[in-house]
Amino acid sequence: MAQIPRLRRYAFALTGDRVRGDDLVQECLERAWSRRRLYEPSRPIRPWLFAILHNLYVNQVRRRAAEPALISGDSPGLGEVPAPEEPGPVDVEDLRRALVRLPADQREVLLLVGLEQLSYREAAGTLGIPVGTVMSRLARARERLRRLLGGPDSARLRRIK
Amino acid sequence: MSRRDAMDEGRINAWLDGELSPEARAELDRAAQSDPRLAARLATDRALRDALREAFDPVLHEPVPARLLRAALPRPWSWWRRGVAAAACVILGAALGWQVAHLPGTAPGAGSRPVSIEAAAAHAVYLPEVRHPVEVDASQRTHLDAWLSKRLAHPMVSPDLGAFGLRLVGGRLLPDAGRPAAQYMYESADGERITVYARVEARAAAPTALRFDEDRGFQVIHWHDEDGMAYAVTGRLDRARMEQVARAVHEQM
Repeated sequence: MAQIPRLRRYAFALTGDRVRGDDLVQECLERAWSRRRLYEPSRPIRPWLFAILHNLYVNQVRRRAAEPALISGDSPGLGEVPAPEEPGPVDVEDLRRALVRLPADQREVLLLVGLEQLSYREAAGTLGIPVGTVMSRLARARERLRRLLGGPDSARLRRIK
Repeated sequence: MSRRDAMDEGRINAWLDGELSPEARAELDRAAQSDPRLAARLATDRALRDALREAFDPVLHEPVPARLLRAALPRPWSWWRRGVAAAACVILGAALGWQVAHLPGTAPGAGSRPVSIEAAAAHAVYLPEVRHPVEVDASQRTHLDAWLSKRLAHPMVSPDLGAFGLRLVGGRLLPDAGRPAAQYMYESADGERITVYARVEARAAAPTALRFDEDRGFQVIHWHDEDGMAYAVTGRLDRARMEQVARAVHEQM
């Protein structure tokens, strides 16, 4: 029960829509109850619930053929604004809009790590992917966000000594 | 992206997410001191991370919709389990009843809990209500105040918290250790709810200053006044704002 606010925050960020987010949480809670025998009480409940939410979300996105976002790629989308040099304060609304434009798999990693503060290992376990994939998706997600929001472009960043 | 760049990307991300060892972290911090581009990059990434939390953290403090609370409750049991549970309740109830009847006498209503605890409990119960958050809504404010004044046998005026962006939703009468208590509910534009709880103290107590407590994850600011009333303001605003709201209630009550 105490997890509901966090699930709602994540689902809202993931879907970009209040009602869709809450629908997802409701479905997740119902499924968690019907599968509670699969839950091991010795393990933290949060990654388990997020994993259920993730699976539901992936199925939903697959069903929605209209949503092209599931395929992730490095090619920049149309209409992205060239980045200005000065990093300014980030507008929250801009960020929400930019987030919706990320491929779903990148968005999930970014939110689990950046918002929910799961470790790379927990995020990997939740999504059922290797830790290396978490890291590469995270890098792509942030690079794309920077481009969408106009921070300094990573492609032009010098190497670290 | 070259292999070297990919590695650096990984390090920057790990830096941001607290996945680096303290040494590796210090090394990157040092590198940023002599490399303004890297420093700018770290600042941008950190600003993005903070903005992400800022954009969605408010959801954490919203009341949870009732349908989600329902979904989080256990499924109804099958009929035979219900039968067993009902039988167990009857037996347990009978045993408890017998024990209570044979306890040394305690007067009903004597065991009132501190006002902060009662207020937080009432707050937790009505906070998530979507359709019935209050008994009498704010459109009948005069009637609400008159009714609660009569039941508490103490003049009650719903405080005006408009200065804090808090709108009166309404109020209700509650039982508190067998005596009437009042709860006013307020709501901000983004759905944050606070409640003001009031009761007549069973035993006369000296007036107190505003006290700050936390119960069930809520902040509760409570006090006694010179008329033998106890008040509590409960919510999940930041502490400074809670204090301002409580002071305003204190002045108006």
